[in-house]
Amino acid sequence: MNYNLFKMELYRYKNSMLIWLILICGLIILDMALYEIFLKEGMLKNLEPLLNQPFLAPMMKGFGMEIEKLSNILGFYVIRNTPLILLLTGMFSILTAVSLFANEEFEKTAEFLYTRPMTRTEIFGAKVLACMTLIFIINSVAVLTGFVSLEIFKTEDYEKAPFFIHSIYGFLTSLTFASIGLVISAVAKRGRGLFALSVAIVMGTYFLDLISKVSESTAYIGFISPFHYVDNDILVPDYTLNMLYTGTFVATILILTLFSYLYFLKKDILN
Amino acid sequence: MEKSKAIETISLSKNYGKTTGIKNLDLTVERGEIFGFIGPNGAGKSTTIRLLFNLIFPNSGSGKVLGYDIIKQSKDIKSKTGYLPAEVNYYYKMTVKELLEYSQRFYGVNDSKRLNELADDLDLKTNLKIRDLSLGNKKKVSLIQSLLHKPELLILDEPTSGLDPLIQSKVFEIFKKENERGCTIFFSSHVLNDVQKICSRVAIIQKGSIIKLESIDALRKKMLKKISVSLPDNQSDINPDLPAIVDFKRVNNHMNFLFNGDMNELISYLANLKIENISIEEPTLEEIFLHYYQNAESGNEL
Repeated sequence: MNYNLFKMELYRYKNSMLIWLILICGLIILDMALYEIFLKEGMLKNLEPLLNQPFLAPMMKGFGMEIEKLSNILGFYVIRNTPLILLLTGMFSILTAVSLFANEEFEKTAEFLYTRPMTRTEIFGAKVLACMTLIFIINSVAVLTGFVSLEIFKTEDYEKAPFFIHSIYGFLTSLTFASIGLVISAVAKRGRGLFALSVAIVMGTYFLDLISKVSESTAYIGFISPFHYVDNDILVPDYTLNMLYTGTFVATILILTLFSYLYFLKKDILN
Repeated sequence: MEKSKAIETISLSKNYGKTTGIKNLDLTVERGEIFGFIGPNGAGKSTTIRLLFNLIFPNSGSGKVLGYDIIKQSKDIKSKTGYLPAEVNYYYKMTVKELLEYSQRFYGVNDSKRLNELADDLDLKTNLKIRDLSLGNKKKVSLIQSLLHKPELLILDEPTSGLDPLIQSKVFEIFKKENERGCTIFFSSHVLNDVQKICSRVAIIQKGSIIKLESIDALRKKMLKKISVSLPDNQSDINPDLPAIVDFKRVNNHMNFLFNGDMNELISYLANLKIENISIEEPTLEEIFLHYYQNAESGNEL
């Protein structure tokens, strides 16, 4: 790992990370501020007949909307904020990872960087570690903001351990999108369209997960979505990490990262 | 023990799909020399350089730079080599100083004195952002970054493009100084005049293969002479048919050609003609270059 390159990568993506952080934290605080109003105004009672309508019920199920969950601040957080956080941190992660190698080639700075005295392993290591560090920071700050919001806007006490255990899924989802981004970045031959492709992957897999939850007949398509492996049943007693899901995340991240590393080692740098 | 060559390639080949980049390239550059590598665009100059830096992988063959294998020991090569690319693209948000400091940190160097000296020599302001620089100034940045770590080998790809004549002469002075310090220079260009000014040996590359490798002096002196003959009006239809005459051109009663045979044979032939004027000169490198190219194109022996 080359520390000079690692530091420069962190510096290069600093502003982008700050913008995403402001957006994510702002949305978390804004949404959690609505919790009290949500309870006070009796909105839950108004929502109940809507959730039970035969036409809307499957869709609401897809979104995880349940009265029991919404009336608990932790459940409210998971239903309303988790998808948003996963989507936004996922987009940040995939976009950062995609630009790690692809930008050097398409902005034609690769020739400068790859003629410095470093092995390809050192270049890959420094860039990936910088990306992981940024992902760790953005997820940590999002979790911290979520925790502070819960503390500020809670109306009654709640279990803290499930909240922190659940936040591990956020980090794993981000890393999964980052590893998909790494593959794209390593194999991409053209720069055009990579941004749109990255956003489409995050949004597409999110909607696949939603569709898979609507009915039994579509359940199987959820398996290809990282969102499927986030255990949102946070209110169950003794909530712990689902080892099967966690293992799936870790295996996917390792396989995709290894693939992009091996591809990068043998890649011709033409720009 | 014999010191390794600065650059040595053995049957090095690279294809881009069906297109040939270079084909069975055998090249040897001695330590301490200034070696010219000339050829038109697409001849394989940049492909060769990219292979030496392991930016791309060869399909076959092998190569060593400063004794290090171009694939397995690329990091060692890069740590002792400076590279000035043909196209200059840097991180546009950085200032010149930030970029140069960033670059030298990769070599474990922090020599602000040398950085400032080189910037002053080339009249380059280091507080400017890269995005605000002209092509010529970007080229200066590129030159400085290639020299900061005092490399043993300097690989230059079209180093003078975009530079005004005054800066070009300064740049040549810097190259000569570096060479006096012991630095080997590999000078790739299609500007023959530049190669002529500074190089001791030259390789001419065409369609991925070296078609001639000679010292600049030998290339000029070995065979070719540039002959201009003016004839009186009544002999303006004469066409000399000596086999050693090449690149023959006639404008009215003036004949211009290159001659690569026995001079006595030419004199004997011309003695039978009534001549108004004759001049025998050394051809320019440009003319030699074109001669080799046209011969290679037509498949004639060089």
